[in-house]
Amino acid sequence: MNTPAARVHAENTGRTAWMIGLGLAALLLMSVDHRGHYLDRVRSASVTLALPLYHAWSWPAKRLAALAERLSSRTELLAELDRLRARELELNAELLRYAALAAENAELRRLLAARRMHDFTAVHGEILSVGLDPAAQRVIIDRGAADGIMPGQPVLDASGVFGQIDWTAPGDAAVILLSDPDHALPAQVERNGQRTVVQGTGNPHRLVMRDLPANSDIRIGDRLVTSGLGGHFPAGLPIATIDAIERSSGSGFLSVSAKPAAALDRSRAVLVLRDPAAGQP
Amino acid sequence: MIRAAHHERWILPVSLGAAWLLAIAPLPPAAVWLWPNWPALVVTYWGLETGRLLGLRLVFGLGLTLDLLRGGLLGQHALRLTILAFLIGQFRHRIRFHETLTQALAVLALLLNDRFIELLILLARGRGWPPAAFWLAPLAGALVWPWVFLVLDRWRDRSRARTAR
Repeated sequence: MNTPAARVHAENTGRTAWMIGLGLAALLLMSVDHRGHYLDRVRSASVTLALPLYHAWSWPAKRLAALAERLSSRTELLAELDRLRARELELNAELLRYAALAAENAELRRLLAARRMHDFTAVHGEILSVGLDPAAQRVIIDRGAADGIMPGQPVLDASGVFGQIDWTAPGDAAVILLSDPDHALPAQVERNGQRTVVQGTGNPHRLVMRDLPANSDIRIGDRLVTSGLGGHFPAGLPIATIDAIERSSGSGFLSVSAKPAAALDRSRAVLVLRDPAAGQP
Repeated sequence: MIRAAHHERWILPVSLGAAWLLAIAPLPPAAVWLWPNWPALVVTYWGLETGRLLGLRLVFGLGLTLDLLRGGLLGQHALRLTILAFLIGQFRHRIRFHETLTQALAVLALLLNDRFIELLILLARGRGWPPAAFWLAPLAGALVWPWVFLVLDRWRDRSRARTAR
């Protein structure tokens, strides 16, 4: 019974049994994680522990960028300064115009009872340079609960909606990208106010809408903006531009795809909109 | 002898730590599909060299830490690394004594199998087919394998020689 061959055989059977057991455990874990948000607490706790490692990668990347900036020549910097001064002047002029429009708009919005943009204050955040699982469609930013950031808050980049806060740690937060397949955002067509829901596909360059009836008035090139429904987002923020419409004869719905306004795979800096009026969402 | 083993014990966690850290390296979008699966390479090395040091349960636990670190689906790396360790356990004696080049081919097969499991998980989640470049990482992994092997082997030899002295 105790020959070496018998022992090796017993060892192999044991290994195979463990492989099957652990494999089933992994499958169970994956399906639980895929189905819902049961493991979110585990995840945010563990990511808090992992944050120092994320910063370990992000710090040298940041230093390198700073060094490159320092090495750029004085004339280049002066040119940049001139450009920024001119831009500031332009923006100031625009701001004056905006103040008048905002007053008018507030009056109109009150009639419509929609969320107003100026209810929100913005916090600037920087995306950590760290290589997370591309299928996860999340980024980590360097602002967190200590900066008043809460799950559900809208995140924008310079050109449009970027995503939404997923979970927070004291000094950092994770943003779920607009392109995540689990993410859906109430939207409307800017041209005619047609309401729809924009969903991610896992591809940072493509969003889809599956709820538009076949007879909807929608064209390629139409811009989609947030509708303000759902409560988290103010109305009127650019989301995407429609770039393909497919009419399938079988179903009563169009298959519409759109290109996000925000640079989901390239932006380094984002704005998080805080709503001082709202409590925990 | 005991001291040598004690000294070596540092190399295992340090090499695993380095691989785990490389797994979350920030990469330009073009390099994402070329980046070798460092954790799989290091687990392969220790599986081939020491067999028993990395048991299936330990590898499973290590895989979970990698899942949490990369923020992906929980259990995915745990499954993939455990299958990798299991296969290495089955074929260890056949792979181990081959020259480096043949070994690299065996590693390529293991990495392709690992990528295939990843593909199945992606499809099961309804994420659609990844680009063709998805299959480049196993090739890159097989190409760097001889160096991973040499570096870790040298390191262990040196630490052994140092303690013997």
